[in-house]
Amino acid sequence: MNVIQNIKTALKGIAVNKMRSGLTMLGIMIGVGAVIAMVSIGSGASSSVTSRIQSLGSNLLMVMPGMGGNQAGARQAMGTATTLTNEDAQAVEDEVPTVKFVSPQFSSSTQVVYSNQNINTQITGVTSEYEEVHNFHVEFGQFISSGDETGQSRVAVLGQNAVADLFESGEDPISKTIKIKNIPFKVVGVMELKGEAAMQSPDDSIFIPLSTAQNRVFGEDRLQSIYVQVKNEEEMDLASDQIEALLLNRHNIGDSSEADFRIMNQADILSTVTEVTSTLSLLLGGIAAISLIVGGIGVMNIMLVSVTERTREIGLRKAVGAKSKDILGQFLIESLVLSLIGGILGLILGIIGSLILSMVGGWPFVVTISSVLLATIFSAAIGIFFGIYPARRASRLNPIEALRYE
Amino acid sequence: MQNKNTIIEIDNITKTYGAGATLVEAVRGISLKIQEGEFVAIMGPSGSGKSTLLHLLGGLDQATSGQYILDGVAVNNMDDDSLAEVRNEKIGFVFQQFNLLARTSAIDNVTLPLTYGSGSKKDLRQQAIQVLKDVGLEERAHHKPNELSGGQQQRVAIARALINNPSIILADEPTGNLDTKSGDEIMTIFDRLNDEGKTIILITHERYIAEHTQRIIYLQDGNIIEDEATANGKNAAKTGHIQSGEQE
Repeated sequence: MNVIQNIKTALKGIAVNKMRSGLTMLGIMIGVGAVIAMVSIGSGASSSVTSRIQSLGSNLLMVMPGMGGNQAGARQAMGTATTLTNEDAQAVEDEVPTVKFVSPQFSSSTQVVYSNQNINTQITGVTSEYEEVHNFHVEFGQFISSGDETGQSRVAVLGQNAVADLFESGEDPISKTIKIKNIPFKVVGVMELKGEAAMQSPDDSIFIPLSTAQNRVFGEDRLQSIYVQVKNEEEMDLASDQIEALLLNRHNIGDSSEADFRIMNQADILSTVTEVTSTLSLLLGGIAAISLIVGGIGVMNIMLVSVTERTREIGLRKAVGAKSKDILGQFLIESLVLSLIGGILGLILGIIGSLILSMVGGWPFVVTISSVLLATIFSAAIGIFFGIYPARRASRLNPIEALRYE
Repeated sequence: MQNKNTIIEIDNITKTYGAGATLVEAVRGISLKIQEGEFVAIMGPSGSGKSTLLHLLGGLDQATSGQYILDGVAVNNMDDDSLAEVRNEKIGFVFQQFNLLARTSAIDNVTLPLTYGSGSKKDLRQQAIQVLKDVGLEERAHHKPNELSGGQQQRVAIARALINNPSIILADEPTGNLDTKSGDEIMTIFDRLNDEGKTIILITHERYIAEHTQRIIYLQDGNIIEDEATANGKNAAKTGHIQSGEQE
């Protein structure tokens, strides 16, 4: 009995019991899909983070409001506490000698209207330093000036996606008036295209002066973050200590473990993101492992059913001259085909899944040959591993008893 | 082909199942010789050991003790794989239940033994069509078992038994599941195969089926109680049919 005939027999068996085979394959499918997605997310997210860090430069500190000493708690509540103020930002700029630029910002989502277009997007209140600190520049027109900031001007600079959403293609947005929360703003500039980002793309954002955002649009006097560009890369730790001391003093906190803010540098952010993606990878890896084992047990179960159902067939095959190894091969190939089909479907599922995830997450879509090979080999290995027991059972059947089986 | 060639020779063969209180002696020391080209019926009440004897003759089972020489080769000490080869090359089985593979066309059922053989895998279908023609079913070659009548299914099974050109056909109540007319058709095929020189051994409960053969062996409680030539057999002996074995 050759392999091709065995494969044909296996495919026939699978086709006859579509429902049963499909359900059996599902376990393998989910497992393999999770493997593909896991690898894709891991490499996509980390490459996106790395490129962001590189584009931002390494001399950047980020001050975020927090809830106090507990790191896990602070991360949960980051950006929601109201502990950072404009005065804090001003003090950092004025009193810390190692600091070059300070870019405080406040952002929130709200309704934006132009002509008959109505979108809900991120409004970011920034100062003129934003451009320099974030290494994110205006392409047409001009950015928000310090005059706009002091005058609380109603001017806006749009990200590329915001332009695409609000204006028809070919229409020049400069000098047009858009309405943010029903307040008219004059468009003075359009930002360059930033490309993918991990959470929210700055391309979606509309930038307005910080003072305008706080006082005229949202009525808030807090800040969500203060980005600080340090003069000299070697002074990062010094600057971080100085800012911490200053803010602790300003907030009247004696013990730094009870600080109501957090200072992070790019390395911290990188490690946080890596932690998140590796946790996600681990989670998916767990799902993959469990699902592959459960799927394998499913394969074994269905193969045992198949062996029992076809006891007479096995008896007949033996009677006409099949040796034990022929029967072993037949059932091994059947379980191999079953789990390989499941694996290939899972591969497709995983690729579609990671494509969607990469679009949502805004990182590059990565499917490596090695992950495809890994998934294929893994599902084949499962088919063989969990197929051996049923196949051996079939091959050891006594032909007479098998022929008599009802 | 030699005249009066002994194809099956068993000597004091026994088969027991189980042990202790549940010990069953299915065959208790049978000795038997069957010549090439003979047509033999085995009869006897149920539990007499007919099927066990047939299984032993067909190499489906190994005797507990005794010697079995099939076509000049001792079979009683063979391992499972060698026995499988013997079954594949020398024996064609026909069962009461037909035992065709479901959802598999007649022609694919017929080629099944060839796929396990050591011979060339070319022209399998050609050969299958030829044997299906021999049993008058070449037009049904692509029908599946559930599209065939019982008699037709049994003819496919006979074609399957013939495909490897075995020297012996073993049939376990081949007409037991068939109406009289289909049964007669099957027996006509067996008669012709025997005329063509095939050795055929069949188990039957029906006297009129046994009358087709040349020799009837009666079993009871695992022993041969009678071994007689039928009218056919006596005729054949007279006309030298057995000796020639090639006569049309």
